Amino acid sequence: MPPVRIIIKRILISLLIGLAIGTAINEITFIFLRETARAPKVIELVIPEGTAERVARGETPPTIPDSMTFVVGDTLLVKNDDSADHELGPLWIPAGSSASLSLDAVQSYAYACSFQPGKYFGLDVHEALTLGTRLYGILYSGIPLGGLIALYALIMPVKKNDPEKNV
Amino acid sequence: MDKKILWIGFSSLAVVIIAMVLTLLLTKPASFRGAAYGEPYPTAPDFELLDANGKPFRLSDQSGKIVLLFFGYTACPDVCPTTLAELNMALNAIPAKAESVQVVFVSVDPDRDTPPKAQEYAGRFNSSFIGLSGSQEELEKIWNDYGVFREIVQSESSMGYLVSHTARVTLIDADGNLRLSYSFDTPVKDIVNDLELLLK
Repeated sequence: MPPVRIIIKRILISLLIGLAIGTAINEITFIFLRETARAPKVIELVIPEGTAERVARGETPPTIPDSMTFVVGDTLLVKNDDSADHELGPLWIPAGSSASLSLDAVQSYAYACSFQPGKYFGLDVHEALTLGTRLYGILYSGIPLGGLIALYALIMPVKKNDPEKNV
Repeated sequence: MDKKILWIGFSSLAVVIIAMVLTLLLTKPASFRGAAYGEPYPTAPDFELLDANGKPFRLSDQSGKIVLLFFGYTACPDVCPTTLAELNMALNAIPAKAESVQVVFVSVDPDRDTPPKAQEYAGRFNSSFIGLSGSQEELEKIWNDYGVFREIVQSESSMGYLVSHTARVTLIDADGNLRLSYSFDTPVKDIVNDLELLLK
C-alpha cells in the first residue's frame, strides 16, 4: 500500500490529466459548434418582392437560404415584402405583414413553405453554446476521465529501488 | 439576547427580500407561445357562410370575441378530432372567460359536409363551437384567404376518401385582427396561456 501522500498526489495528477484531455476534446468539438455560441436573439427573414413568381418558375430566391440554424430562445421574424401571401409551417403571412415564431426547444423542423421551390424549409434549433455549457462539458468528461486514470494509477504498484533485486 | 433575535429577524428579512428581487429579475415576462403576427396586425379576411339553421354567419359579427378558427372535415380520422378536443380543453381551462372565445370550424370537404353535419360534428366537442360548410366556390375563397391547403387523397377506408389539409389554428383577436396561429402539435397549455394574456 503506497503512502497517503503519494495516493493524494496520484489522484490530483490524474484529475489534472483528465481535465486537460477533457478540455482538449471539448474545445476541438466546440470549434465546429461556434455558430451556436451566442445569446438568443430575433433573426429576421425577409421574403422579397417577386418571390412567389420566382418560386412558380422553379427558381430559388437568392436571398433566402434553404435552411437556418438557431439556438433555443431565438425568435424567427418573417417579413413578407412580396405581393403574394406566404406560408411557413404554422405561419400564414399575408402580403405586407410579418409574423414571428418562438423557437423554445431543441428540434429539427422541416416546415411546409411557400417561398422555396422544394416547398420545405429546414429549421435546426440547438442548445445555445455558452461558457457554462463549455465548462459543464469539460467537467463532465474531465472528472470521470481523471477518476479512471486515478484508479489505474492506484492499482499500479509504486516503483521502488530494491538494492537486493539488483544483485 | 434581544440583539440576537433582532439580528435573526433582520437576516431572515434580508434573505426574503433578496429571494424576491432575484425571482423578479429571473422570471421571464409573460409572452405569447403561439406564432405571433407583427404590428400592425393584419385584418382577418372576412367571410360569410350559412349556418346549420340557414342563417348567415359572418366572421366580422364575432367582433368583441376571440375567434379560434380551424379548417377540417367531419370524416377526419385524426387531426380534426384531436384539435377540436384540445380546443375544448383550452376553453375548459378558462371557464370564467370561455364565453369571450368562439371556436369556428370550417369544412374543407364540401362534398360530404353540409352545414348541419359540420355543426353537429363541432357541437359534439363543445356545444358552443360553430361548425360551418358551404359550396366549393364559397369555401375555396375562404381557404385561399387563410392559406389553407387541401387535397383529396383516395383511400380504401370504409370512410371513403381522406382530405389532406392544413392543420393550423388561427387566433383572431376581439378587434378582428390576425394575432396568433398554432401548429397541430401545440400544447393546450400554450393556447391557454395566450388566451389568458389576451383576455386580461
